[in-house]
Amino acid sequence: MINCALYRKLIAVFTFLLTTTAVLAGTIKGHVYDGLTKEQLIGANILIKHELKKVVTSLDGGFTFKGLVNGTYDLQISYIGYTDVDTIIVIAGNDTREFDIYLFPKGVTLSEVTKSAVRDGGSDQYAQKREQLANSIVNIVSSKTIAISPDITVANVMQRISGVSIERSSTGDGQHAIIRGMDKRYNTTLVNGIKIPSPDNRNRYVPLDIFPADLLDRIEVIKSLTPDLEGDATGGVMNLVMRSAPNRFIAEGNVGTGYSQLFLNRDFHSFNKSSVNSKSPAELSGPGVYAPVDAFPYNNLVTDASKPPINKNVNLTLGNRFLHNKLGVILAGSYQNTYRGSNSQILQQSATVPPAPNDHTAQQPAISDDFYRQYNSRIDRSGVEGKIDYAFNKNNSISLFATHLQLNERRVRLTSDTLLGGYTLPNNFVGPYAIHNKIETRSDLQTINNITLQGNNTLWEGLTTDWSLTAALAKREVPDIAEFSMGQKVTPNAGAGTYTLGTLQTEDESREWIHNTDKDLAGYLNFHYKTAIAGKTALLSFGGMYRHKERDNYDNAYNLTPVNDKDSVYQKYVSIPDSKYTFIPYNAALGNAAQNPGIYHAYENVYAAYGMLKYQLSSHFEILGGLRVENTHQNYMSSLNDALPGKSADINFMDFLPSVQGKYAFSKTRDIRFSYFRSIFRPAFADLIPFPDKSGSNDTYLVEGNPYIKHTVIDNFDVRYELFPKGLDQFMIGAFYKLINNPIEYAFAPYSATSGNYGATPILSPQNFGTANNFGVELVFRKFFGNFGVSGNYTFTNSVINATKLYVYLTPDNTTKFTNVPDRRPLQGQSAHIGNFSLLYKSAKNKTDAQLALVYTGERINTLSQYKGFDNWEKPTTNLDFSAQRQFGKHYIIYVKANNLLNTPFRLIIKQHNNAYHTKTQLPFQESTDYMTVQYDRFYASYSLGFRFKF
Amino acid sequence: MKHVTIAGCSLVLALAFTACSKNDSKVSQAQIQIGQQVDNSAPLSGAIKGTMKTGLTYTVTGNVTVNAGDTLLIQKGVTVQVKNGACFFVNGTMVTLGTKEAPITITDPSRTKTTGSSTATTDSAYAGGWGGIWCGPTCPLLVLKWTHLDFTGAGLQSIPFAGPAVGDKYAVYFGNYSGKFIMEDSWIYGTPDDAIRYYGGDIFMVRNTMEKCGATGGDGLNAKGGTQGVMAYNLIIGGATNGTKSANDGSTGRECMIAMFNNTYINMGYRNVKTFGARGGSIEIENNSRGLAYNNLLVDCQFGMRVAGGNDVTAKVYLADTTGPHNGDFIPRTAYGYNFNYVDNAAQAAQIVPTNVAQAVVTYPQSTDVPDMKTFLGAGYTFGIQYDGSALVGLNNPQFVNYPLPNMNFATQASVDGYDFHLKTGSPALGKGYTSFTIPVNIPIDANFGATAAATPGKDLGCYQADGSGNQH
Repeated sequence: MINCALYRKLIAVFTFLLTTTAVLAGTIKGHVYDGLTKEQLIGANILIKHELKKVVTSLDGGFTFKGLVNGTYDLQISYIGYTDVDTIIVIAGNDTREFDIYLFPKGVTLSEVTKSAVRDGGSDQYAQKREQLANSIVNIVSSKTIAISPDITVANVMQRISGVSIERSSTGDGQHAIIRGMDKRYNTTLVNGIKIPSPDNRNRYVPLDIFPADLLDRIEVIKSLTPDLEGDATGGVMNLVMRSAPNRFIAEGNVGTGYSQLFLNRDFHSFNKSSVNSKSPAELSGPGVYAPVDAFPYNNLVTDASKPPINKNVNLTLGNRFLHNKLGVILAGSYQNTYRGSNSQILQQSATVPPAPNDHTAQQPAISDDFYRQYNSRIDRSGVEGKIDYAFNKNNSISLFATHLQLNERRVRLTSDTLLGGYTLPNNFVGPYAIHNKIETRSDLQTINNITLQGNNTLWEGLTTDWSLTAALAKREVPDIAEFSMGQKVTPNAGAGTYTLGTLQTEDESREWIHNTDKDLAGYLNFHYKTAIAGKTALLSFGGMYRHKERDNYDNAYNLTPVNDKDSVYQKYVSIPDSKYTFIPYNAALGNAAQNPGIYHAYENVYAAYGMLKYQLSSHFEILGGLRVENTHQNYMSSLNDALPGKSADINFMDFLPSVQGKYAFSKTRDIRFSYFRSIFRPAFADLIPFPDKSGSNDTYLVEGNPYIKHTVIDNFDVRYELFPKGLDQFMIGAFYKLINNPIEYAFAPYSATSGNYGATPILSPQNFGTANNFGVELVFRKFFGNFGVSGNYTFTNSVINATKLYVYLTPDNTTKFTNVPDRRPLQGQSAHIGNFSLLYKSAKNKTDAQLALVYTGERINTLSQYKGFDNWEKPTTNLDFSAQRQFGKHYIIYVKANNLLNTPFRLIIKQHNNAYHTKTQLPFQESTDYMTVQYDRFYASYSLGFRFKF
Repeated sequence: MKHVTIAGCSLVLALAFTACSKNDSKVSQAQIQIGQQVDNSAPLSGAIKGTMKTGLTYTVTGNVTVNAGDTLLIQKGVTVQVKNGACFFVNGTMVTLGTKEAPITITDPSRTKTTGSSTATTDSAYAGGWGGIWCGPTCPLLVLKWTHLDFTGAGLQSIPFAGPAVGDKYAVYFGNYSGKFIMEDSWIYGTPDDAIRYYGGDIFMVRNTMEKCGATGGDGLNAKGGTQGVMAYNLIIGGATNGTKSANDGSTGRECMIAMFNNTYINMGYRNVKTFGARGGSIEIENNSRGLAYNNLLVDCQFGMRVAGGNDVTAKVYLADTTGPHNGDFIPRTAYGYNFNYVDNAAQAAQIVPTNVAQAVVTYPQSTDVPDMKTFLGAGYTFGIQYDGSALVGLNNPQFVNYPLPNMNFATQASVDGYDFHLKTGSPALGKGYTSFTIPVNIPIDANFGATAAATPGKDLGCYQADGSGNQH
């Protein structure tokens, strides 16, 4: 014990600052820091032993004792997990004694101080430290930030990061990140630095809502690529770093519950999942066999309305190190069961619209139907993760990481579809001609299995290597997207202003099965050689990677026609079980599997090699540069008939991706960074394959790939000025420019590019429209005042793409003229303004934390139209979330979270004069005469409550 | 006319010979043969070209394809039995030269025609049999003369070229923007969807009979973007929706323009179940297309001739092109009149000039129509208003040779059966036709590889002319 106390005194560093004498009483103040990271510790205890006076450090790590009479004070400074420090301060006169104290984690000996494995990577301080030291432009969110923020999923955490905005699913969960306004497809998601395949049929990145935030150690968002990183992340790389074993036994967990305001307002609709056939009849009985009508049981179309159970959320993490800290084992499991939903109103746009009356009037959008929809989703999300790391010696270590993630969604979509008529009701609204009520149930079952072996070896002095071998299997099954429909004619009563509903009839029923399997095999090998060039430190890195990725996709859809009643042209609706169907034509019983482009095998091989040099030009100036070469080979073979273009494709391209980055440090707390790099975007399989997909990214329109699209090549320029005034305070300002060749954007097309099928309703397909220029400015700040903190970021992006659009008008001699006119617009998905603002409260004394977070996303193009002026814009959104927690004892925390407090709607608009607002042709949910609102969704607030424990 | 003259002369000559001697000789006309004779000894599938010879029966068991540059010619009297829902894929030329005496039949032998009441799910006519004729973008010419296309419209299982999708179900799909498609004196019996779907091309659809077209939706002759031509002297009965239609959907080039005259439409528009008749039910001109509609005879149709309007926002069906004149165009301006409507109930009567209920309508009531709807609706008429037409029920019986009116089976009588829709002497539809319009000839005139003769207006309303011209069935 004596030795120990002596040792503590040895490592305690005191910095005394004398101040001018003032009043009678003296003051002791100071800050407490981590001795390794040099970052402040929040909530450390400072005790005056003989008086039992105690204070705790605030958000900036500071503390103060005031009104101390002259004398000798014996102080003890303690912090959980750190070794206590005792010290003696003498107060004489009106002294203010100010000093900083450095604490060291328990179990750390001086020889281990340089070993980073034991660092608590999840802390804010560590996060910021990495941010400050990193080569590239990077933002880091630590697990502590995650823990005190009102976020359950990674996607929601993501939107607190500078320049990141979130695309939400129909249930309001953030699914995909848009970095600096670059659409989700320009970003990649890594887990522990490794890409994992997405089972999502439309996207090559993992949907972020598959990850419970509790499993994470930290999230890194890398916005400028170095040559050692894969070149397909223009917006950024999201690296989800899973927790690794700490240097002591831990048991951490969380039990929570919650509810959605929506289901306080209305019932939740559910269906019986046990009656869902996992495969289509053609898969069960073989191709070419006519399915009997009873192969399509009605049971999973029968829905039940009730109040949903409360949400459930549990997780547990256990970890320890063994064999003298050489072997680390961590196991984590989580399960979430949530009930989400939304109410949605949509005007369905027609594929072709009337010409403008003359060449100086805009065309008007054409609307065929008005949908009112209720979404009800039960989401079961579970994750199991294990990581074992073993250090053979100080030169060689390996780790094995395995994860199994599952995201099951069972959704009921109720649609009231009003076919708009050609007449006006007395209230000036367009009258209905028919009303269809549709019940759709679907299951969307996704799993990801990944196993990764990683190693670090020191080969000889200065030469190290790290390597990864990874195998992944991801699956998505969408068994039986089943939709039952019934409808009735609406006939206005002449002159009365009322209308009569016709007999309710059973209508066509549709059933569709989609599933895919993705396999990934990849190897990464990097070498690092540390040497000196002209007396300055140089780090030379080189290496490469290879990845083979393949997907098998299956699709089969059936349409069943109701049997008409005897001596009638229709079937009167009685109930879903009583509805009777047949196939018209008879071979509709085969489904559409024959020559269905949705049945395909696709693979992608990527080889890459790079070399880069990091060089310390001076103590202030560090530069990093190099070249990466990536070769891509994409291939697919679909079941489409070879009489059509696009049955298969074989695509090869090679890209040379230079990168130069520099950092000039004016001082330890001020630096400037710049970077240039070239990046690419590879079309995903589903971007290429001409499969009209119902389970795609849009719930109203089919989404179809386009094998003719070119991959995107982007030149990126960044400059960023950073200031780290003290502690956690931070200020950054940056500017960027991106020149984007052949960006891929999703646009309405009147018909399929390959099958040429014309429909009344447009499809969505990816297209290249030319070259986009994005110029932006970025601002990040974080400042703490005692128990309060504010943090925020703002990104302005000026994005310009010049393309052409169709404009159809009547000439003076009344000829319909089709013209392509220039169209200047921002890139799809690009908001000019994105801002995040958080207000933090952290009282170490009350052990209470709270956060109010506001996210603003400016207007942006959601979907492009082929017609001039008809792009669908997403209205600006402001989301407000609140969270608070309070600690009880040493081990327990109770928290409350409330998301989407403002019930922010998702709205799509067409910026044309709106004849549906104030004339005799009004449509529902219109907001302005200046634009037509074509979608208006509400998600409502959600609340959660729970407690955490930590041992 | 030419045929009639030649036939008449032959008869006179034959009689002359008979009179002076007992010799009885019939000299056959030369039949055209192209390439090799198609072998009928084995079932056909795959590439096909050459000639199917008179009187032979061929069996098709898998999709047959006429490759680009090749021709398939079918001589009179040939029967083609198509099994397994097989299709004709025509990337080259296809010509079927049936005659009145020896028509050609292409059918699914597993199906049998039925008479009387017919509904979508009780009558196998709508279930699809063989897969139909699919003409691709390289098909320069499709000629169908005196040919039965019975029980077509099996769902497409093999997409032959860019355009159609798996599951599409038509008797004929014509997909060459600059091709020619002539169908004369032929029959279509039973389709699950549109009988014929055109995406462009110059078309000539004359003197045909169409029965039971469309199961729970679908039109008879449905012309889409860029199609131009004639639909005349057709007898169309019991179609799900319209008999003839023009709509410029999907066009980015020339406009769809169709002249629809001297057609007879019986019991149209009652199986348009999914949209409750919102698409019309006889003659339809919509979606930026232009049309002519003269001298048509409509009996017990759910809707009269409709020119679609389109209000400011809704456009499932948007406005027809009523502008002009555009001199030099195939049809300079949408025009109509001299159409005859007979109705058997108040609901039909209230839609002789269709109301706006389903879609905005811009049909002008015409004083030349029977009944005179312009007078009936009065000066205060505005487009699409609902009116009480019950006074018109049962008026103006067109007096068919053999089809009893009134007839309350209009929703289910979908085939000609033993009925005869020729006009009796004294029919109010006789001699009421407007004959002063002309239609440009945009197809070749040829006894074999084109239209037999250009189509001219007929003075009697409907497809049968008292002078024996018009529809020959």
